[in-house]
Amino acid sequence: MNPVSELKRGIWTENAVLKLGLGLCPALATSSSVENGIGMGVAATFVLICSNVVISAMRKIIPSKVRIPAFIVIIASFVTVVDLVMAGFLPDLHKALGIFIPLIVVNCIILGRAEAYASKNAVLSSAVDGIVMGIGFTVALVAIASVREILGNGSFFGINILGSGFIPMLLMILPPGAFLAIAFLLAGMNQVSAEK
Amino acid sequence: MKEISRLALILTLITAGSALLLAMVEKATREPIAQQRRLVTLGALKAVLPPANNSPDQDTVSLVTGKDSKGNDEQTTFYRGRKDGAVSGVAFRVVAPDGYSGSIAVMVGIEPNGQVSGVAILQHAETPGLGALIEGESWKNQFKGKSLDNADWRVKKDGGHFDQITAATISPRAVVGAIRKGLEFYKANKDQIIGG
Amino acid sequence: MDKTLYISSSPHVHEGGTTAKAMRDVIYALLPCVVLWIYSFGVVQPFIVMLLAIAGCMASEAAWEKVRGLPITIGDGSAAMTGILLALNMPPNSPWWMALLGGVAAIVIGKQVFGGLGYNPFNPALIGRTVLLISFPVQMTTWMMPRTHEITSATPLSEVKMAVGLTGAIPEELQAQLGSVLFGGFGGQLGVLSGFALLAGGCYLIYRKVITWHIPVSFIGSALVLSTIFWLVNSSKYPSPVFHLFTGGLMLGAFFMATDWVTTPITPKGMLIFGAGCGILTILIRLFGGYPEGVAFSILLMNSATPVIDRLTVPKKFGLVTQKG
Repeated sequence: MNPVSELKRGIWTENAVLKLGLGLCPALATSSSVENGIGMGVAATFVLICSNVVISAMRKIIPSKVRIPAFIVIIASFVTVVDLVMAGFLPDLHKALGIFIPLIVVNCIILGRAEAYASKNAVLSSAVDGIVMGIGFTVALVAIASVREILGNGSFFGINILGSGFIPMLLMILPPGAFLAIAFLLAGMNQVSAEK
Repeated sequence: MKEISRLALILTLITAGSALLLAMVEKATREPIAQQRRLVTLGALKAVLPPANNSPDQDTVSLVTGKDSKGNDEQTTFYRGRKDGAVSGVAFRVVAPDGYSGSIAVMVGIEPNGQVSGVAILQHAETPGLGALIEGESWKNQFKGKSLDNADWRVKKDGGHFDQITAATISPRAVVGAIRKGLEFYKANKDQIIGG
Repeated sequence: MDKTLYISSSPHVHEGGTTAKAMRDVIYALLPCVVLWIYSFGVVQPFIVMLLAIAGCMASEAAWEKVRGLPITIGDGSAAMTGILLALNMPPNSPWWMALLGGVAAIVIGKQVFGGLGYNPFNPALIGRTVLLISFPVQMTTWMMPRTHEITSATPLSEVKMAVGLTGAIPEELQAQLGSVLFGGFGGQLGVLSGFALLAGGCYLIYRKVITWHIPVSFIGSALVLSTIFWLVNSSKYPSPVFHLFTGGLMLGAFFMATDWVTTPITPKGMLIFGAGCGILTILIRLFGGYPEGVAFSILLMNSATPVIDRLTVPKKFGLVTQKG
């Protein structure tokens, strides 16, 4: 297991959002600013690593007939942990992400990795899988959010970079902008992949 | 029968493990979360009240301010700021039901003589870059020192004294109207609010 | 056997019509209106807006097709026409970059992502306008009075909407003022003059058989009927049908945007339904919607209904006899 090729797998070849089309809902909803995008990405990554490790460790105990309820219980527990911790220590981010934190439970990426990877592989490689997939998700969110925040608000990470004369393109921080940003990033990635 | 009880047992164990984890996390975060909630209220109170040296969130009085759609009484909490024992201002939450998208919650601070000491927007879902500009400092500051006696509580477009926002009249109109109603209630019930 | 008989499917005789020829006709038909528009709003600035909108459309079309390795089609004039229609849908005093951006948005989001001319479900010029309207509501609703350099912030449609929203009726003084809309007395309005310019252009297109009469007639007709009904019910709250006809983009929309070949039904019956839908939605949005003007939205909405309308109005096959028994 080569960490570099694993990382490349998470960010590019099997990028959950921009290649597999998983987790589009939070990617659309929480990418209106880079800060929110990173917050969502880190929260989901934490849940993904924890659930991958626990599910992998218990993969021989969990009977396949009840594996989905078992996975969901484990994932939901970690999501609730993130929710509580964030409410207690990062209240602003918690307020900005709102309903999308509890909804990490139904994020396809997490159940998808549990089913496709962690339930079949050893603990260490499942942890690595969680890390690279989480990084891929975060990178995708930051990419989408950068486009939206720069064009739609003239700022990056909350810092105004285009000067006060810039008139922001409101469409980009409104919901349609999320669809446009994802679509054009996806098209760009496909174009690059096709040329290789 | 044996199979199903084995499945049930394993699921129960997983769920119990989750419950244990959540109980521990909840216990650890209970204090910080309560603290954060209090800080949010205190922050808004501090922003709108004239200088005070008590804890306004603990010096409150609740009054019936209206009826909800079912005919039940609606209570509003009035927070009193005191400077060396004497009431220096009162803050309370007013809700503008007629925002552009949903209702807007506003914290209004009033000096005992009926002048507005400050306004904070607590909650809204207005369009980013347009209606959301009601959160801007310069827009909120125009209310300072205004009372029912020295200002016409309508936006300029409707013939009043308060700035609307270019291309977004509905949100400012809703906020101005809500503050006016709050001021009127204060004027009519001043003794109860300050003295009670 | 030295003679080879070539057989191909019909049509065998072609009258020589091409997309480029049709587009040229549309552009000719728009000319009177374009000249009037440029002249009325101060020549230089609207001219620049118009040029940049066209440039944005043509440049992005060429660039996109080059990247995608497709044949470059800016010669057929469809991108230029999109640019002209887009410019006529913008305030003539728009900043230069807005015209350029609108052109790019119209072609890239409205047309090329779907595969280019013939594949786009929505009218590209209206997509461009809608992107701009949502992105820059302040700039897109700040209009200029014709023949002056005075900037006024409200069009008559938004004045009416605001007054009705506030007091439930059109105040006396506004009521009296509304008549002047016919002579360009309001921001962004050219009134009757542009109405006739557009009518003349529309008739030319019908004469040249670029469009048929169905959509414009049913669009304007249904708008007229519906607004007359409301006006008769309560004339203090609903403005007159003449006002509706000559304000906003109704004429432009009915003749030039609701008649786009690609995005509208192909059967006469379907066209009548399409036009009526546009007219009714326009009046309903103007009277009861969140935005003061509804022409663009109603055409876009009906664009999305076009496949359904086409399916519902398939004409009977020629000579088809249903078997009885």
